[in-house]
Amino acid sequence: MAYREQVLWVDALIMLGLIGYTVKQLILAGNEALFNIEQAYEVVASVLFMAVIAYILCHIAIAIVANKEAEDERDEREQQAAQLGAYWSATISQTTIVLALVQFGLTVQFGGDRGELSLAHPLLLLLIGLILAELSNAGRQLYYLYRGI
Amino acid sequence: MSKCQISNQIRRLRFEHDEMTQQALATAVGVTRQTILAIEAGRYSPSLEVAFKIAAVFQRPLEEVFQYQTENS
Repeated sequence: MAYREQVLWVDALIMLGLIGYTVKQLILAGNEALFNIEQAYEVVASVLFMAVIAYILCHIAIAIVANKEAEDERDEREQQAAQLGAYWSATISQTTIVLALVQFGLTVQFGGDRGELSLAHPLLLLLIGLILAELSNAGRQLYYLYRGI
Repeated sequence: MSKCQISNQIRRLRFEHDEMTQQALATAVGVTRQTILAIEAGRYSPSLEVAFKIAAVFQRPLEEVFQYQTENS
């Protein structure tokens, strides 16, 4: 397996792990995370912290094992895969941001005194959307590298 | 998406060149071994530049290495 493919598999596994971790944190926080902005912040902060730690540790480990760096130049096929992955990632990120803004706007407009709800929901939606965007980035690249389409 | 219509003779040419490895060809061309593997398997159509480089490694004209098959051929 090429170094770039190893990195993509690691990225995809990290993102899958993060989805599981996020769901676990949300279940532990219960309804509080959905309606209380401080609880939502705690969930987001812990997930981001886990993401940074996992990303740094895994990438250092894989770079040491493969004796290469992630910035090593890609060949043309890997560049095409990266472009496809970035396109998918950008599409999902943009969709999530629009949905979060719409939800924020609707809640502010019609939510009455439930001010906290207007921030907690979009924040969690953004978090899940960004994780899914990164997962789709790695997944689309792997699919292109293995299937060629 | 349409099926790849570009076939190639890279496997045969590697065999004729003292069983050149995919890694050796990849190094000579400046791509990864997985890219050579994908080209050989018909899963990836290389750029003109890479196609010419592969032909140059085998010292053959481009059309002897790559063939384009039209729908009715």
